[in-house]
Amino acid sequence: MIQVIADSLSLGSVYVLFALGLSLSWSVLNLLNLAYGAQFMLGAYFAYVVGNHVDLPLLFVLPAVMIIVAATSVVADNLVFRRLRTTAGTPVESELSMLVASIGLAAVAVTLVQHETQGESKFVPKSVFQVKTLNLGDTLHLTNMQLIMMVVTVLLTIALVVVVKWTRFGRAMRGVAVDPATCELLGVNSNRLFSTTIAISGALAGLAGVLLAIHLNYVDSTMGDPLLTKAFAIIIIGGVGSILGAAVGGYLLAFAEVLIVAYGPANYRDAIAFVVILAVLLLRPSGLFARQRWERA
Amino acid sequence: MKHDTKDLSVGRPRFARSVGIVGAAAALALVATACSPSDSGGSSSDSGLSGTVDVTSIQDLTGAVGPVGISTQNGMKLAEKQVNDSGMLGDAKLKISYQDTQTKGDQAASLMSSAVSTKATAIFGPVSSQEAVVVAPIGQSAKVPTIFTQAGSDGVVIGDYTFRVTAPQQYYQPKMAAYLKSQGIKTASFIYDSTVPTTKDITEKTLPPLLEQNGITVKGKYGFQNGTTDYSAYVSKVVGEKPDAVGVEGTNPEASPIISSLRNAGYKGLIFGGTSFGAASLKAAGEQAKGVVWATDFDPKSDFPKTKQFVADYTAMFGSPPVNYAAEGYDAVYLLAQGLKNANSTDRAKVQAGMAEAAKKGYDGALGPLKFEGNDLRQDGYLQTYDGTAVQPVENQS
Repeated sequence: MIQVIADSLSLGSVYVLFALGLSLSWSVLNLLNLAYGAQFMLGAYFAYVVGNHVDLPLLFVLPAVMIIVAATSVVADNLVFRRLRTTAGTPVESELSMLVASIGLAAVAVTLVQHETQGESKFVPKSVFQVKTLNLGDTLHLTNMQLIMMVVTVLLTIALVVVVKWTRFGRAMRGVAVDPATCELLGVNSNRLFSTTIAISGALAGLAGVLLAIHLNYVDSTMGDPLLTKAFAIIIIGGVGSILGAAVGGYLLAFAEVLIVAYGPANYRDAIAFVVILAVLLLRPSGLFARQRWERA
Repeated sequence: MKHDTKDLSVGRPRFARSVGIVGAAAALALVATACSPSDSGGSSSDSGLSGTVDVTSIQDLTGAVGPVGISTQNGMKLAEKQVNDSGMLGDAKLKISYQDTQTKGDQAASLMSSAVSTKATAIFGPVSSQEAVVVAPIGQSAKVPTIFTQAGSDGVVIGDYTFRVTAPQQYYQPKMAAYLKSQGIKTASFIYDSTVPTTKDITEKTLPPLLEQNGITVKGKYGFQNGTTDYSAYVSKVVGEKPDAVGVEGTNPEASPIISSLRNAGYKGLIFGGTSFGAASLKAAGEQAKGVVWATDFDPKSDFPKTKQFVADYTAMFGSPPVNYAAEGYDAVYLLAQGLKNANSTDRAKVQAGMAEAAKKGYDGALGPLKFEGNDLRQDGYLQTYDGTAVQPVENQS
């Protein structure tokens, strides 16, 4: 049972780590960013590239990659999303056009990486981080990377909740999420806020990409796709706009999946897990932590 | 020696298959109305071989199994060049048009339904089983000779117009079962991709009885879905069963992550698998993959003259040694070339008969001496292992 709990926490960390940045952009920017899986993949890919060109440990590679992915996200925002936000006639039009644009951006990134890698799977070199197993007798096996992910996930979740709820920047984010026009009148530079948010979201995607690429021991142009589906489910279970909800949703889904593999029909893991999600949504259509329907941040 | 192998019969199964089946149904309806049995379609000619013989290849060149398709295509290009340079078809020249399915079933169905309406004499189908089962009925219904490699599941060779130049993996699994017995293995558990027809069939149908015949008990079989990102739960379950050996039956990108997870969880026993194992797919696991064993259909170190010649020619043309997919693509083109030669015509029905005749006789190919059962290749295969950096043949394989 201890191993089941450890596996659940490990898988939950994978899901939450991936979902945090996506939740942030969805909450603040009203951006259902389908390019997020590609941003995550770019984090993993850049770690592979950097690791193969420079002999640096994770402590240096990680921030470098986070900055690179954050920068590419800001460029994408300036070139595409900002224009769509400002030229769209209605908020719904804006959300739809950004959603479609994010599909296009994802396709571009995936195609470029696929071309560069010839479609083959790659991996982050061991010189960046050496995965080691920590054994607790015969009952518990965990790698050092799994432990790092668990700790980073908890710290990041707490940090994001604190920033969004209790800082001036967080209050501005929540304000812009509800009414950007009024916030502008009150002196909030919404474009700068959007860019900052998308940079943070990109950095989180980069961080998740690096850590998960090392944990999973592979880098692939399509590696973000399966997680994207899970992340949307997690965010909806938790309640759109709730960082804490996304975290709880991620761990709940992970526990359900691991329990099914450990004690049930493993082949039906995803099907059963999504039936559980469906049941949760039928009971609480706005998610576990949403106080009001579609209240964001 | 470098030998890259990737299974597949693969793909992104979730949406592609269902969409593809709908696409295939629509395409079949179109084909049924467009082609009567007497009209083999296009502008196939019965006036002997001359000029250009148009052939279409519908292949996974990008997407999940892109590398498999590209490797297959390289083998085909080498064969196409050699057939034309050698004058095997007299004055006629093979001209293969290469199209990309993007590893999508609906795209494969769409390309196939277009291809059967062209003057293509024959069509090469995709390596992915999910797509092949969609494409095959279209080719069979339109009576266009359709040749597959890899796609190892049921539903691919479905009639006289469909051919496969890769022996389904179940034909080389007896060797694996015998090898496990020779290593003193008494128990085995499986982690497998339950959404890929080939790996599902091997794990659920083919291997269990073979293992049982060799005195090996299967402790558990745990299927995961294509796209799974963390195998910890499956690995913990399997490691807890303490089997002597673990079978890992999945696609190329799944091999190293599962093997690394098993070793990280403290598993020290034998790991075995299918053609998804190879130098490229095991590189990430590195030393952790040392000693894994798998069955495949191509031995690039073989002394068989045709294989040696193929390896030399391929290396000269592409600058790197061939993998099994390239050998299969190469042999597939030669099956068509012999069919054309036997038919002395581009008429689809005659070419089909010519190919059936070539398959019945068998021929020497890059994979070795090729024998068919009907239109489907049969081979015993080879066992290979990984030494931490490169692929090596398993010694003393029966």
